[in-house]
Amino acid sequence: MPIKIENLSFTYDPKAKFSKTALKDVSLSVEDGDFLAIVGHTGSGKSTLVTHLNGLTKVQSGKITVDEVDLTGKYDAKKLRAKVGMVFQYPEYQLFADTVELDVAFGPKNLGLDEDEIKVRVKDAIEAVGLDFDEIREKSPFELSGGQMRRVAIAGVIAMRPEILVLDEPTAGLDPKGKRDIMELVLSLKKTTKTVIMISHNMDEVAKYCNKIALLKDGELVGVYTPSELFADDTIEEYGLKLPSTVVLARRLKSCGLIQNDCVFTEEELVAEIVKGGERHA
Amino acid sequence: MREISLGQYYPASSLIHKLDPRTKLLISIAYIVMIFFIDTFVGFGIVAVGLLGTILLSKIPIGKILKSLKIIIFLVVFTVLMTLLFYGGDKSEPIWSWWIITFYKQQLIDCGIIACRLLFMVLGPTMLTFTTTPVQLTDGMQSLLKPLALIKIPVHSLAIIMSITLRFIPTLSEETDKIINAQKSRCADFESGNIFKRAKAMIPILIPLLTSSIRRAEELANAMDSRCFKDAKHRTRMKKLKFGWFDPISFILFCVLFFVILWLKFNFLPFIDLRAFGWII
Repeated sequence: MPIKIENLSFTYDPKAKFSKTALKDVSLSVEDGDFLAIVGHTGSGKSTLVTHLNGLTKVQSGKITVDEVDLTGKYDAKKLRAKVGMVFQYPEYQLFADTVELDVAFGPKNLGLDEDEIKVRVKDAIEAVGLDFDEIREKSPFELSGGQMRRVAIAGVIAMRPEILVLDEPTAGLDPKGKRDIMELVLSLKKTTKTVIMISHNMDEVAKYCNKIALLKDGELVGVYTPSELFADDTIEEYGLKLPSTVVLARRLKSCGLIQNDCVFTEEELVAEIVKGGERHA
Repeated sequence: MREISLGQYYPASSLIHKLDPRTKLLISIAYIVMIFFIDTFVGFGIVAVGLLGTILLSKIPIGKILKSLKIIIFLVVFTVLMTLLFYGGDKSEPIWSWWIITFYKQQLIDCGIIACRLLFMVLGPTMLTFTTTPVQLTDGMQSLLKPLALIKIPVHSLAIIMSITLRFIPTLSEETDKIINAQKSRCADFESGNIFKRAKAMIPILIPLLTSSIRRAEELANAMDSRCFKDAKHRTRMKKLKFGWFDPISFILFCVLFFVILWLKFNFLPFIDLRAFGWII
């Protein structure tokens, strides 16, 4: 289910005296199986870009097609939103129902599915996010821990069985372990949802998990890169973002002559490089 | 991030914008009182000149101000209709009559006066809200209400409650947008169905909004506590209210206007008798 964005521009309150341009002539395509990161400084238009993908923001100028459906014309909003699952920032603040089960069932119910199908999907979704269905189903979402609440909120989107999962900073406000857990969860979800698009400020995550990175600045698309392209030099720092910590460490080791390759994006790769360097010295 | 305009403040750099909010508040209140003393078109004409001057000084496009009158058009039409239908005043000069309806000269004049009164009444406070930010307004109100502290009314606490409320309106409105978007992403439907269905559809918005405002209130209370906020009374402020050179001038101009209106109404000046100019009254 490929996504094609062509020359997309967006201005908030175009008629107002103090209108603000959020996107300028952005063209981007996402293929099946991509894990795309959208990075950029605060206010660079990342969120505006992703809310276009499920029709929350109407296309002002330009063109978007999601799975051959043209979002500039008439289309079935429900169908689109079931296909493109959107997890917003701090999704745990959007929980509302009496029980976890009812909250997760909200999306499938709105899709007009029958009771049995809803039950199956809710159970699958709750288990997919790593929670115990029987233990948690009758609980109020408000008595869960922060991490559990976020999982339940993600389950609420997963239960619609989207083919594209869009996440807006899924790890914001979590501790390092929580961050890693959620990213592992996203990675496991990617097996069923195929395509994942993620907004992130955390370059460690981006380098480790994503295969494509779209860099935005002031509403304009600077470019789409692979991690090795983007983190090969200091370009990223010019856009107010940090290099992944693995790259920073690898570079220092390289400048000391300890390793030869500083293009490493996971701890495992870095360790492997160091071992290699050690063998050479020995 | 979306710009959220609170109320109808229209940012511009003008003498009227720079006036002290207290001046504007006092003049607005006195202005409303003044409107009640006007019962001639000449009086409204004089006020119109004053208003026009204020609008020109404020650099706000006149169209923008006239647009704000839209909200009371219904009220004006309704009031005028009522006056036309149930008129019990002077019926000496019939002008037009059809079937059982007869319009009298005085009746039409009264209608016009009532309509003018309503429109002018709205225009004054409109100028106030167009040129004063909500924060300035609360500061001004707090300053003007200070004497009430003498009779043990906690003016300062009320003021801080007001300013915190104002502070959180944009935050909560942004939050509402986010929650609506999140629930829409889960295919929530807020637009179709009858009124009960639609009211029920609001629950997934209202509950998260309520919990988040409680959470925010708690966080703010903790933050204030941990910075030793004790009483609102001895709070200092970064932007102190200060009268400028134009404040006394605008007071004087307004007083002159008020005096003229009172004179038109009560004709108290010994050396000119307004009755000599019958057309004025």
